[in-house]
Amino acid sequence: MEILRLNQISPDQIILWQWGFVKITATLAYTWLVMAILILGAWLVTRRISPEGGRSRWQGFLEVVVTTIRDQIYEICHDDPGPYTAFVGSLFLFIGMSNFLIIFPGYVAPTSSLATTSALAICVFLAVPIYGISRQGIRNYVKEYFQPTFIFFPFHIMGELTRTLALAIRLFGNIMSHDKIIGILLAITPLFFPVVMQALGLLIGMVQAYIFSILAMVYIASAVQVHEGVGTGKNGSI
Amino acid sequence: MHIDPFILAAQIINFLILAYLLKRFLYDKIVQAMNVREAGIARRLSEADRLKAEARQALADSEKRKYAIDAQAADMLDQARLAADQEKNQLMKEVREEVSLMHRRWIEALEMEKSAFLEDLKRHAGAYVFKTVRQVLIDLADEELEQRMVQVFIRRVASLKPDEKRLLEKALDTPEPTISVKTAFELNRQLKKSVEEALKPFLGPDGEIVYETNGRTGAGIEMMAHGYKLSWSIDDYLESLEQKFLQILKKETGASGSKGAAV
Repeated sequence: MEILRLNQISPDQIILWQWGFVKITATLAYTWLVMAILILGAWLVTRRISPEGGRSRWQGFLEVVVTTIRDQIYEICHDDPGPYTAFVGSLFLFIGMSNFLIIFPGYVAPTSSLATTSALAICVFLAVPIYGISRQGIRNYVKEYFQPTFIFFPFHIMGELTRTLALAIRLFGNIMSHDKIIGILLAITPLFFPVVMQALGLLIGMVQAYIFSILAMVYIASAVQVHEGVGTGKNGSI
Repeated sequence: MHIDPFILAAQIINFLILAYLLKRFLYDKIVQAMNVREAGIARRLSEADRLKAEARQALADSEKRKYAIDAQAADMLDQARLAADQEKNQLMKEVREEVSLMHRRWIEALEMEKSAFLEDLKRHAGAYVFKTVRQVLIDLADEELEQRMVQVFIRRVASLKPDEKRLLEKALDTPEPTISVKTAFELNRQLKKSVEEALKPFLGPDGEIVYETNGRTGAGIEMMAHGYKLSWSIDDYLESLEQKFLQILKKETGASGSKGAAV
């Protein structure tokens, strides 16, 4: 018995339009949907932003979100969260919104695509050295890979790669498995229980968004703070 | 699991675009708005602190002024009370002095009135006594008394002192020496003869004695000789007594007046 079709596991398999190697899959479509919701929402709220009293509830909500993100970043790096807010905050908002929209029938989270989670992990993989070098210079940054001795260099490289892979696989696995569990449960108990699982899925989605962005921040913080001796460990992972 | 490189690259680009747009439309604006608000709140708080400090200062100043005004009012009240007490004491003193003066004047006036009344009373009493005595003597006067008075007169003439005698002789040293003798009653011949005998040594042979009768004289005899007068009568005694009485009365009145003024 085929419980779950392949295209239900990954939205990459749902091709909406293709021209040569260029193709628009459900992953890209839903990604653009999530992006549109986030950007349009932000634009609608902030186009009439009011610094003083009389601000809207949506502005208050976004202020709470942004303040929470900045506070979390500050908790990790103990530094001005300004340079990291756009990157880490966008990770959280994108993953969170992607996972939140699973409550709508027919929607497939882009984060259940390994290509999406890999792309986000690669972004983190690239952001870490960029932030590290911009903060402490390429010499100091590279020197950290040879600490305590040069023998550790390959292990550092492996660590970088594996944690990036872990980021991608963790998010993909959690979201994809949730979809799969929902599908299995629908087949077994079509009433009531899938609703509970949907709620659990929302929780898992938010937790994963939090974990992904926090880990990204931890990696970045370790890269920028090693030189200052406040590092939280270069190979932290969950 | 297969990863499509195109999807991977597209997702990387998508994420970068999303990050940029969210930075552009969300984080920057929200953070900027919050910074502006925080600055505004900080400004308002500092303004509120400043106003609070000013209000506290103003309160302290007003309390200080109030205390100063209270103290000033208390001082002014004390001064006014003191001035009122002084004024009251002064007025009381003046009133007491005025009352004392009025009392003294009243006492003086009373004493003066009293002494004037007493003086008047004494004067009237004395006058009445003398009038009565004189009337009694006039009533008692008769020829026998006249005779005795003439005898007393003759004795006085006979016992004139040398200087009096010289004065009488000098008065009678005229071409027609005349002696006027006044009596209350007509003298009988015998008495006239006695008088002439007594006066003859002074008159000489050419001398003349003129007899006059004056009922007002009362009992007594009076001799006038060209400016020299020799008389003896009860009126003289009475007049002398009256003069003495008036002198004593005047002395007493003066003593009682000064005594009343000293009260």
